[in-house]
Amino acid sequence: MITRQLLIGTGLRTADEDEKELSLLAELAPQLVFVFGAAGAFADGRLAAALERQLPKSGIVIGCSGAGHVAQDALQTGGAALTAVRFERDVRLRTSRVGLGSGDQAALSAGRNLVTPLRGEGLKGVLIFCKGTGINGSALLTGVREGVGEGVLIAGALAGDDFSFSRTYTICAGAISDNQAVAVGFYGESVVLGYGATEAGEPFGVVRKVTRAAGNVLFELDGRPAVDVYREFLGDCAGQLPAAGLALPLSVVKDPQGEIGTIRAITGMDAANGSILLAGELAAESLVRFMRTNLEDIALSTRMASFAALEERGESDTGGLALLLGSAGRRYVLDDEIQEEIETARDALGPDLMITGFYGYGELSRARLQNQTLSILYLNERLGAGA
Amino acid sequence: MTEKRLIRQLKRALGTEDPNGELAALRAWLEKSGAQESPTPEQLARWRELVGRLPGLLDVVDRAYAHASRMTVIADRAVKASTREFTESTRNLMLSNHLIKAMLNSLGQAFFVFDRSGLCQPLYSKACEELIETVPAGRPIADVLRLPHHERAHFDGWVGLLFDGAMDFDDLAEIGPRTFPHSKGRYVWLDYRPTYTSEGVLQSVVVIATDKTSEREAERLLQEKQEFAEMILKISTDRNQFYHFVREVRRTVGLLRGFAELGDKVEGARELRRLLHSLKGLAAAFYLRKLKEILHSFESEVAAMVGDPRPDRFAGFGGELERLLDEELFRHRKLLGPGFEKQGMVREVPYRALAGFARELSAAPQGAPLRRKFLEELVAVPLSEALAQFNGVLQQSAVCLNKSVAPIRFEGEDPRILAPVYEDFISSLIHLFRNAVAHGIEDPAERKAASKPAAGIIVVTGSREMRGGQEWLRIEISDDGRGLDPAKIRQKLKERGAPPEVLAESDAEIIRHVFDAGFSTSDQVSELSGRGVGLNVIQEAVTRLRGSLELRATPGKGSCFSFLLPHLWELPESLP
Repeated sequence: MITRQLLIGTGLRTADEDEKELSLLAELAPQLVFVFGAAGAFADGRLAAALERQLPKSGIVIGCSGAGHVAQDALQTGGAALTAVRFERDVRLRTSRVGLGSGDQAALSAGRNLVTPLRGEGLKGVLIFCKGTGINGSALLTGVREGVGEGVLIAGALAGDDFSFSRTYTICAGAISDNQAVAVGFYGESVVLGYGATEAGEPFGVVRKVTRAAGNVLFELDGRPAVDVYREFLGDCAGQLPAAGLALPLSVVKDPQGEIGTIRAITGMDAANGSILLAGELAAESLVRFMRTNLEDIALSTRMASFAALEERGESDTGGLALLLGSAGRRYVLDDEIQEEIETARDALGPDLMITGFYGYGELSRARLQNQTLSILYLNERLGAGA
Repeated sequence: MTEKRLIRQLKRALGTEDPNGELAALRAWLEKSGAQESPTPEQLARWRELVGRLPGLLDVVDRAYAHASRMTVIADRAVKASTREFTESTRNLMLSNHLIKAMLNSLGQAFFVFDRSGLCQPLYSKACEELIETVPAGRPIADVLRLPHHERAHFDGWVGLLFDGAMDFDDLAEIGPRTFPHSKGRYVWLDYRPTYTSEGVLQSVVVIATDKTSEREAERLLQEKQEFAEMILKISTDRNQFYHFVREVRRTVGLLRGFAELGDKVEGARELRRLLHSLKGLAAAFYLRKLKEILHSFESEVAAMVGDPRPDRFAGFGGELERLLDEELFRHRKLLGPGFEKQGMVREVPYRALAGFARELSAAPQGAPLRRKFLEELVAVPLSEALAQFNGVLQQSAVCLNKSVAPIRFEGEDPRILAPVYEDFISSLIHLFRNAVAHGIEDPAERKAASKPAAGIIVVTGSREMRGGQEWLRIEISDDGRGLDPAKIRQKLKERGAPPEVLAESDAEIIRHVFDAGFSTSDQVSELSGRGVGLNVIQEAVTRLRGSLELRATPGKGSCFSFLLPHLWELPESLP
């Protein structure tokens, strides 16, 4: 597997120079190009146009906006990072995208409709990017699980927009939208997919009861408007809500189904009715606690996620790509120091992998929609097979 | 970590991690401030360039500080808010505790709590002071429950198992101490309830002590009642065995009195002990608790005497034993019947068998007198015995009508009769007795006014008569009530459209119409009488026996039914 990475739109080069660099990337004849960037880069039609002009039609371009993206082993905040992949073995890819409606039911059907076209012989895994605000990620995931069936790896993330929680973008097959979910399916015996995700942080303070919630909208904690509780804890920083709420995700101590350990982060708020929008569902009657995290916790969880993702890596495997799908909450708490996480991942993953990724508003796996994790998708091909 | 961060910041702002040591050299030169070694012009140029980029570094550092400060503010704020919430929670908890304590104290049960360490926690109800006679807080549970020392190791093991969680709590609770040895003899029952943490781990055990003294007393009374019923059943079904027991007790009483003067004291004491032991068993079999207890204590005392008998005590035993036996016999005199001890052993024989034997006797030579003797002495019963059953009816009727009536008084020679022969007649008399209470006997106030005893008197007189070479039986049943009122009967007959010749009958004649079918003088139909059936049933039974009846009445003084029936000595062919 051959990979090549390029940063464009960072202002370090002129637009023409960027196009030139892009054409060099195209020379690789990549089947797959991941694009992660700032929301602004997606909103600006020039990125789409440049990709359209320079990249071969046969290749797949997929990605989304984030609250920071990862390229050249560093956190990037401007422009977009392009990572091109050319498989040398028989790895087949197929993409799908769906527009999103409103409501939990629409999210569920969108999830189902997104992956149903990808079902087929040799499907090993699906990678999903979805808009990051105003979406019930749990419902989408339920639909994805139903649509894709058993035995297929599910990985993905909700897009981000540098903590403004307004417009998040996804891109697939030349279409950029702030209201869609996109997916790529990986097929064939040669493809190697590994996945690891570990959350960071520990609950603190009193146990609170979710007294009113619907889907991913949290109305009340202990009978008080959820926003008021957050305001009380954030004090002067309350003005930075909803972003500041990322510093205080909710850890589910126990939900009505007996599930524990789910973490819910803020993806928006409705000041009018005092409700908080969460990345995923939170059932009424759940018991929750605020959570906090620090650099040490984050670094530890990064190592654990890296090792889990590499479990699929064979002894003789070389190269490959690690997709870091990080939580915006971690990025918010560490700010620029999130670089520590990227360096830790590099140390743990080894020197010969290409690393890209972004920080988003929710991490998707087969098990659940989670926040506050770093999830890592390891992508490679096995040279011994399928040649 | 800080160094790594600094290097990252330098790299970001100055575009170098200082691999060539330029920054280090600059720093060294600055720190020595005016050192001997002057920087080279190249160094100075490079330093100037780096310092030119310093504002960028300061921006990066400033940004890092601002972020760190923001995070610190959030963290600080979170700590304050949490602390406030915990304070509030603690206050609420204290309030709840106070309320719970007040509620617990208002209950009659004693509650207290112990944990894994086996120590009682400060939470307990006021009733502990009374029921478990201590304040359990801070004390070992084994002390609180007053467990004897030899049981403590076992108890500690039990506590360990409870908190181990490997076995079902309820099963284990069953085998824990269930009662508390109360110093004033109260029966205190112990229950155990688990309290779990939110993770489902047993946190502590609540002990609930309940005073069940009165419940146990009720249970004891119930058991006594059951035993009494058992005793009645046993005595009535094993009457002969009971008779044997009574005789044995009497014999023992005699022996005890005799032993008082016996010479061979040792052997006598041994035999006596054996006798007492077997009697004790019999007394227990008949649920005669008091007798059993006294026999037991005699037995123990006699056992203690072996080797040194004290016959002087025996007469005392005998007297006590006799007194208790007589008490029991008196208590059960109704059940046992009159002359229980004189009758000796009895045996129930069906009438059918008796009739068959009587027939065989008639066939035997010289059988007739033997047969008559057999029937008279063995089969026949005294008239009083045949009619005694109506005492119950009389009392029952009297109670219903708020009247009082004495038990039937039997007078005369009390002739013996073959009960099956007169069965229909005897059963028909129930109407007579009921009527006597309902219409004859006045209520107590009325009787008092008439200078009669409060309780009505009913007398049955039986006698035998010879008429025309035949044996007759005369039975008179009289009461001392208000008598039949001829005027009222005449009026009633008139209402029923009786012909003039009937209405013209004399008073003595007119009262006989009470035996007419459907006649009743009562204004009200009651459960007891008044339906107009009844007396005519008696008339019919008398007629079937080819007997006759007379009715005499004196208003205000009472009525008398006089029956003349053949005294038959032939059992009917078909017997029930």
